[in-house]
Amino acid sequence: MALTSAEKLLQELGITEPQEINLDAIAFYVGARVRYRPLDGCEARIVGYGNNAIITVNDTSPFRRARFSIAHELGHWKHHRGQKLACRVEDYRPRDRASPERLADSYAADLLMPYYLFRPLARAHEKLTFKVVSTLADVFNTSFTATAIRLVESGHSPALLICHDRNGRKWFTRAPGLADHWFPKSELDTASSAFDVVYGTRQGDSSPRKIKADAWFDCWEARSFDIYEQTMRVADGEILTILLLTDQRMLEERGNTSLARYRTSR
Amino acid sequence: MSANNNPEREALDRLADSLIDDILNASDEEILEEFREDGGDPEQHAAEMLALFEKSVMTANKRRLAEAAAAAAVDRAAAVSRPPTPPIDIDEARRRLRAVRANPNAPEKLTLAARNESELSDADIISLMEDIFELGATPPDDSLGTP
Repeated sequence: MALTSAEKLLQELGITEPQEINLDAIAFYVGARVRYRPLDGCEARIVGYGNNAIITVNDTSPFRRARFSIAHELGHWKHHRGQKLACRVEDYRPRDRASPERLADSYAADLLMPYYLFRPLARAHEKLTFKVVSTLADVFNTSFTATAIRLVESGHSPALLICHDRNGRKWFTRAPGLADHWFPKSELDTASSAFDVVYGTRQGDSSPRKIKADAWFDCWEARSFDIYEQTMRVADGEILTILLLTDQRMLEERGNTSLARYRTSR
Repeated sequence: MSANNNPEREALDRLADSLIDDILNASDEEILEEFREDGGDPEQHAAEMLALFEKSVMTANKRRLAEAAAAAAVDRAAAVSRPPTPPIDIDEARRRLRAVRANPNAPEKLTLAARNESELSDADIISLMEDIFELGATPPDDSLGTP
């Protein structure tokens, strides 16, 4: 698989271990100095002139959040040099439309969790669970949610990752190659563990549990299959759910798929 | 004494040229066969040379990272001890920042990814202007594009 621009930069600096991803050094190498100081209105910003830049990060940001912010600004430095953008560093999540922020987010994910390091470490774990997410987040010094997205999008397992709050589905992503008709419902089914967690006090599931697929999907095939669900409460009243599609028949393309009705977020 | 006046040196030079010509004129197969005749394993040797090459590249690349880390640490220390910048008039700073955003002719050399001016506190505006000053993107030529 071809390396991304962020991964090429990491290799140019001889980075072979996640612990070597020193963002201050990487930034300096590309002409950007990182400063930690109080910021009231945002998490981070970048200002540059010619080939020199200053990235300022809020000095009260948690360590992993600050790392993501620096990597995000380096994404702007790579892709938007010479431009003036209204930048909003937000929590990493799948974004629907192509935008400068999405490009900067993708660059940040590649810089913090390059696939050439991430995939081998992920493959050492047989099953995709939140415990594995937590382990990898500690290794790469990344947020729980960003790591979960990366793990699902790495193609480790045929899986979806869905984020809900009490207003319904906020976003979801899925493993590459998974058929589009496995599109999660926007509202939680009362049979799901996720329903109990988002509306109750439970923190989540310690391991995946079997559930009928039609609790999560409303396409006609769903009633024939079982899937595995694991839910975990994350910050700000949000929950994350991993759905594992373990039945091989669910991974086969169906012939007459209409994709037009699908949207990627509410 | 020049080489032209040294017959032994000239003979050695001719021998060296001849050996080089031999190598350059030989086919790949002939080279490999000769290597095998001397007891060598070309594939193993190629793998060893490739590994050595990759190790050398990796060492050089890691040195780049170490040098960048050291330079970043020096820069951080220097930033702490830098003398304070002269007071900046906040209204003027906001006006300049709005001008940068609004002016399509603002210099292309300037990169800015930050919240809009109206969303930033006075402290954020001042620290942003300090960054711009530090990068040398300000007058005497008023290069921020102030109208």
